[in-house]
Amino acid sequence: MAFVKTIFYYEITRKKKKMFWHILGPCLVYALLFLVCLLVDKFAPDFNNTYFRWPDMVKEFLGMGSWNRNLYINLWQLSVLCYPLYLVYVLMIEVSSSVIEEKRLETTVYLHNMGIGRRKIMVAKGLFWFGVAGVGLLVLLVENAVFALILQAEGWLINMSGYYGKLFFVSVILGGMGLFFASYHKKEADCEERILGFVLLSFFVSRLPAFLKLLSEILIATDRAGSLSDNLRILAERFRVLEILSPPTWCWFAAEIPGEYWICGAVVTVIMGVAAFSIYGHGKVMD
Amino acid sequence: MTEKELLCRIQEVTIPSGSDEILKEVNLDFERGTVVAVIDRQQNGGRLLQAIAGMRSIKSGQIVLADGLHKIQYVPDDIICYDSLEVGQFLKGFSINCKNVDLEKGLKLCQLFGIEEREQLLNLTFEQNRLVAMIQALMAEPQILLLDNPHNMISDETYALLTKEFETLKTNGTVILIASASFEQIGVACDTYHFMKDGMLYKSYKNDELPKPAKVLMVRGGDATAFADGMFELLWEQDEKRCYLSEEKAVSLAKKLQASNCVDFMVEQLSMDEVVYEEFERWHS
Repeated sequence: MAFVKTIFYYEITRKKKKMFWHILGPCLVYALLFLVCLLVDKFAPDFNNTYFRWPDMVKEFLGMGSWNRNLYINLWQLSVLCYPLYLVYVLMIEVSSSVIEEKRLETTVYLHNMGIGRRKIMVAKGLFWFGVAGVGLLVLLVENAVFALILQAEGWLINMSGYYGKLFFVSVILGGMGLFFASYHKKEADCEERILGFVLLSFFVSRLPAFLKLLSEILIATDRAGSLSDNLRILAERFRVLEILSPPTWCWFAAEIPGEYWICGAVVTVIMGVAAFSIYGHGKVMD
Repeated sequence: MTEKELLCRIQEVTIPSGSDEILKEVNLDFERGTVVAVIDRQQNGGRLLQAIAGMRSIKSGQIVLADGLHKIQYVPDDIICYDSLEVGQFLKGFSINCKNVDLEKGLKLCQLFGIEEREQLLNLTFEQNRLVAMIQALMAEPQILLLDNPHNMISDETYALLTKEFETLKTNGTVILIASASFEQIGVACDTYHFMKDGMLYKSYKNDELPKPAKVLMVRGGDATAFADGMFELLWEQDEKRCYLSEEKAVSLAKKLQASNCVDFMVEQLSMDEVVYEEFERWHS
């Protein structure tokens, strides 16, 4: 496994600044948020109670849990709705461009001279970026656990651990997809466009059932219950399977994700990984 | 590999490029401690080197390496590394993966060629970038060193320094295989020369068997056949008549032609490549 060390060494040397910001950037944002929330809780104690009393149907649409007496926990809940999308997008971009750039930098020849072929490059880069994602998530978990303890919200530790654990698994699934995208693209820009399209499209399609349900709830809440609201609810139930399309939403607290989805995710990861490995490793360096 | 000194044998190797074949059923043997040149104006020698290094697919045939041979280094022709890594970091990564790589030697060679260890690869000149590739290969003390157009972008003075390193490797039993488009670039420093054309290997010479440089007599108009006299072979090319002959004969014939005052003629020096390729044309026709 010496090739892994070499690839890791090159990746760290080339991208230490980027890695630093990927790992510590979100930590700094949360730290800042925590300080601001402490100040708001101290100087405007009613702020949390006033503005975080959203209707249940909205919370359900956003896949959120119950509100907390601490402003920081509530804001953290809102932030973790978007963070999975950001994380998987960044991870997919980094892992794919990292594989593609070896060709652009003309370093594949030199790596081949070192006994590191295309397949080894892909494996090592995949491991590296999964590792970076894992470390980043671990740091965030520790940081937020500390904040939760400071706020005496120990009950949230389990939620947080579950959330970051699920998110790591989701990162691996989408990272496998990123490797697959990288395996047949020659330019990073082309690959990035497709990844962005994939992440956004799958997200919006997967939220379609929740949106139909929200519409139905709005109709009922405004005294317009009838066949339309019933049909919308039935459609939402029928299309619920679409939720499987966007793994980042699986981590949301109130998202009721069947265990089969996680098994499907693992299977898709293996299929995508093997396909990427096979496609990328099939060609020789100079072909 | 049955022969004791044989490090690599190429058997009936055909290399594709799209739907074409750029090399067709090539057979070659490479012995330990030799410098071998593969000369091809169409630059397919480099493709052969890539196939030996395992970087290019072959359509048929096989490349057999001696038992236990695993240290093959390929130095590409015109690939310039645009990496943000520093030279020292780049070479260090190599030493992490390969136990027997001598990083100290690499850094000393960098000093010898005036390359700063802290300089980023993307800021190096073309020559320096190629030298880093050479240094990487030399650090590994390869059993087979594959050099694709090694003179390309490298000054004569620098190449002279590199040659000393190659000689050391050769003494240690390394096969150095050089691909070039021209004999003139390589010179007479190799032990064996293989000439290729149209994807085929058609002529091989040991160093002491190389054809002598020749003169060509070009006769335009007139009845040049009258001067043939069985002294030389006469070739027809469009409306020109070209005769290939030794320098001594060329001078003698030129005097006769001057005296005859009947034809327009000129005597030109042929390069070694032209001598060999003209031979190929005759052989091929």
